[in-house]
Amino acid sequence: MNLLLNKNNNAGFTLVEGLVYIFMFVILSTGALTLLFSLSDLFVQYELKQDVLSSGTTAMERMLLEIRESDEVTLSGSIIASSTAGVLILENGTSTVRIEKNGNKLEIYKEGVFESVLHTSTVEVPELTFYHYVKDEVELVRIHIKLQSSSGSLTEELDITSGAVIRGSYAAN
Amino acid sequence: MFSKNHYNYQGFGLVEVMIGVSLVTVIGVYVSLTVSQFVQVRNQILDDTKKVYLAEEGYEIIKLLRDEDWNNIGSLSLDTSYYLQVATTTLSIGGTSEVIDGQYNRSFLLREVYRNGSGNIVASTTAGSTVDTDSLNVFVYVGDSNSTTSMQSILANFP
Repeated sequence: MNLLLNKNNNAGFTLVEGLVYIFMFVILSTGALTLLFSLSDLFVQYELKQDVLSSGTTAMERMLLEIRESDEVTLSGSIIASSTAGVLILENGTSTVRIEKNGNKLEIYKEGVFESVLHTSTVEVPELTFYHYVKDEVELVRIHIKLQSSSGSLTEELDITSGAVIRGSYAAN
Repeated sequence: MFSKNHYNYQGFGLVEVMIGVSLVTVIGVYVSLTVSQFVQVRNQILDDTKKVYLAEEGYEIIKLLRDEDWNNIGSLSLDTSYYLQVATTTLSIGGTSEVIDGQYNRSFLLREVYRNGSGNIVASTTAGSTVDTDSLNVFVYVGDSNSTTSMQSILANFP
């Protein structure tokens, strides 16, 4: 109350009061500014996580679907167990599906014609690895994908691994 | 109110400024805690997503083994953890856990399926329920050092 009353007191503040006020003002302002900056970083981080998650699940679901629907893996031309240049060629009846890492993009081609990139433009795919397992002619393809999204100095990464049995090889058995 | 202030040249007092900054700080703390919780939940979702995909792959392999021969899974002990072995020419059930991506362990266990007189699946505690020997509950677990995620499904023996 005295502080408020001092407003109408022509005596003003003493040096100590002034210093205490300035000290507290600096502390509170610094805290408020730090919070605002960290809040902004948190929002960006949240957005990046959402970005890699949605791209990761979309890309993985599409690849698993193509694997399940195919008849066999064409090993000639496919690049297996390479994280930097993964290529998977699938035969489905008379059609061919090619999934490949082109630069930092994950692309899908049908009949040799580019169809689409399987993730958003803000996401990069630094690693894509295909693994091929065969048991009694039944083929399982495992996919490991690493996605990355950046904004300024902030980067979010997501690694997903999953696999699917090729239904064509399955039915043939 | 604004027109009154127009003629007041005293400006803000230090106390007023400090109250204003304090309010901004308090609001900022609450908002930042809330956003931080959002980020934590998102981290949990990312982690669970990875595990669910591995569990899905595990379930697919178990289903393949079931189709190969029902006894591949029908002969296993109930409520016992088993592990899947995935190698270049091997897709089988083995005794040791495969560590995937250097951090995830995957296991599965089987439980009985109970049915009532109408053939519907019921809890084991339901009066009059009987064990269906041609169906099994499959629980696939994927865990790391922090947590474990599971998925459950029923596999049937199709003659």
